[in-house]
Amino acid sequence: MDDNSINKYLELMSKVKYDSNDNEKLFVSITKLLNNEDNIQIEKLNSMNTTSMIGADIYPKRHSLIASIATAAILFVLLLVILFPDTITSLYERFIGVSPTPASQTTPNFQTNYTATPILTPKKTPFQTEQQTPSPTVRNVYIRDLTKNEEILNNIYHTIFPDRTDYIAYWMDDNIFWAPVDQLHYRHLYCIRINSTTGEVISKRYDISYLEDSLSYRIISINGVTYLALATNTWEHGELYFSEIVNCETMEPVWNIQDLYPDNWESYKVVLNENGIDLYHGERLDTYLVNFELVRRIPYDELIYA
Amino acid sequence: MGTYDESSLSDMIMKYSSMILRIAVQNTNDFYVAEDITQEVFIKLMTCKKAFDNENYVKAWLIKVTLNMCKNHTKSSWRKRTVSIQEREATQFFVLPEDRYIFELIMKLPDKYKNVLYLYYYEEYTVPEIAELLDKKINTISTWLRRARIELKKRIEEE
Repeated sequence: MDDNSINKYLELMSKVKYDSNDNEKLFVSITKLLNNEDNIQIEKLNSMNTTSMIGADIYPKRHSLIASIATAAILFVLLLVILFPDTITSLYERFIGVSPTPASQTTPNFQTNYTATPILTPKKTPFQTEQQTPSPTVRNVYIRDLTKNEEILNNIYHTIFPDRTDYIAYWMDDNIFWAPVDQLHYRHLYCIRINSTTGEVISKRYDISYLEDSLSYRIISINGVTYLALATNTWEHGELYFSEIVNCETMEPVWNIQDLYPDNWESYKVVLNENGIDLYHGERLDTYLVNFELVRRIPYDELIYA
Repeated sequence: MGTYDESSLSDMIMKYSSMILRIAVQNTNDFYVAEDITQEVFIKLMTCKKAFDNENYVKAWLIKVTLNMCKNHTKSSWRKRTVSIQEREATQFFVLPEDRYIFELIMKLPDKYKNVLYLYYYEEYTVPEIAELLDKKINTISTWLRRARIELKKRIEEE
């Protein structure tokens, strides 16, 4: 270890420490927290191990019982449909008068290859607003069956927020629901619903967190590996951006904007295109006005294999 | 409650609080957040029902949870960056201007480089151990370590 820079680094890091007083304070505060029965944090941590991934912790605590019952009911109905498909179909025809739409048609159409292809027109849901006009040419998706999709979404979410187990990401009609409803950071509560077809945010709930204006994503396949590219944009006192590509199989982020611009990544906005990203630099003209300039276009494979 | 009691918590804090703090400071550049993360990591340890085979596993688990929490913080920090980060930067922790300056230089390294440097030189993990800890290939860690050394040297020598 003759490298002077390493020695300086070690010397500096050794100054970052807790002394015995700090340790004592830390111990006291932790034991206080652990002994505090009203502490939601601990309750949640305890409940994380027992909360089912399809459980209903997506709702605030007061709704958790209702949500659990609803989940159980849905699971029960699904079980009936799986076990007695013919009976259910005949009952449906008898009482409703038409045959139920096969599951494959109600599930968004996924494309197996990485090409921009028009996809199923999204159904209107109570959450949709006029702004969520579908733009079929801008989305690429990857074929997965429903269960696999849910699994992937859960895994993706879990990758992005590795410590969160009290969330659920699931697929229903045209919507991907990413609903952690707990703290991303303990000061920030949020829940978000994303239209799976347009990638637009349908609804969101915040307690303390700041507005998340947009989240766009693409699921891409390169050399047989599936990746999720995400680009988010937030503003509060100006715009901030974050973008990342996650390998859906290893669940590892393979690239994020900080790799390109470690010092000022917040100033770079990413637009996800068919074959790669458009990278814009945002120069702030005033608090709410940002002037964007296209910096470069980078193919996905170049980012992933960099 | 997890598998740990208060006396083992006290031991764990004595052994690992500084390590967790360093990792958290490196990754968040914010002492306040790093302290919060340190506290949360120990709470997780206390409430975790996992039984560890030996102390090496506990240490590895603590490192991993800390890194994950830092990652969470980074992901959310871009959302909530409304007050001047300058006011909370970890450099203020250092009394000597030279320390502050070097710390600033270190903070400018990508997180993956900082973490590999720390684990290799400070915690004296081997490359294969770091690879296992970070779920990366050994070659990747070797590359990161090499680049981290070069970057650190370049930055500090440019000083």
